Amino acid sequence: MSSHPDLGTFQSISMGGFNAYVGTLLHDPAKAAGAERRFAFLPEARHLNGGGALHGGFLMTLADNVLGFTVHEQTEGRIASTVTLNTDFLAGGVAGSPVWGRAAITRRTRSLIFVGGDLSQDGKLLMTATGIWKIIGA
Amino acid sequence: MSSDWLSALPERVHGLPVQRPAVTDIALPAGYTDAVPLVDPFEAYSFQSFRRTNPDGSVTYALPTDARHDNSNGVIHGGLLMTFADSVLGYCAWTACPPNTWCVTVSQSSSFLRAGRVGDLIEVTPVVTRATRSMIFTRGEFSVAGEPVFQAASIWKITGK
Repeated sequence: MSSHPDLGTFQSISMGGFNAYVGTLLHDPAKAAGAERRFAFLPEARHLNGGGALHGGFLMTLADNVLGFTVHEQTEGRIASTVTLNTDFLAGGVAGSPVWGRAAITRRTRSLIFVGGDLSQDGKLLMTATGIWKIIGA
Repeated sequence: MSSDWLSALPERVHGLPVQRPAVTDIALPAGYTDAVPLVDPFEAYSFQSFRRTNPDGSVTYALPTDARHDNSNGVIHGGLLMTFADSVLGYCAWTACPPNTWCVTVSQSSSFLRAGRVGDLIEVTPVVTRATRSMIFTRGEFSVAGEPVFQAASIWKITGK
């Protein structure tokens, strides 16, 4: 599926719109929620900022998708949307090497899902993220 | 409509090449004077923003949303809003950076107040909340037709050359 040797067992997550425009989010279906390297994205030149590092907006978009995918495994088919997302930038990333993602639910109420996760690359944490999703109609 | 803003873009700003936007047939929004010269490839790929300087010296930015920005069912993707926030809060933070320094995002908090629709014009006048010797705090309230849709606050670390 992917051109990078570390991504041999990964499959693309089918998404449209802005997600598809940004690029392909991959996941390893054999891994459980919370597992390390469960999600992956291979960044390219278009994901960079003017300084040659991965753009913060790209990393926040990726975190939104990694956390959001994990949230939607808990909603029994109902749609949830991001209420808030807090992202800390620990280090700069580069193009050409996979960014790995993981996320786990920290609390679930009737209408809200609290979730946390992180993104890493080449053994280094790039971003930690926590967010709250609201189940629409709940 | 007019794409004159495109030919008015400078070749370089702050020593960096200005990126050619991925979509160029965007009309200059009413009330705005020019296009923001985007130096970040991810921004020029994702959107084109416009600006005007207000009488009090503040700068208002606008992002016309288009089909690229659809999450699903015509709702604007949160990733686009967070990217726009990182862009404009950065411009705002740079105004508080001492000469010969630049700043990088350390943290951003993003809150989604209501869904924006593809086609909406997102507007924001970002502010510096506080600047210290090593950090700058910024925030912005993003609205559509005067209604807040999104807010972001970020912390920037000043980095020496």
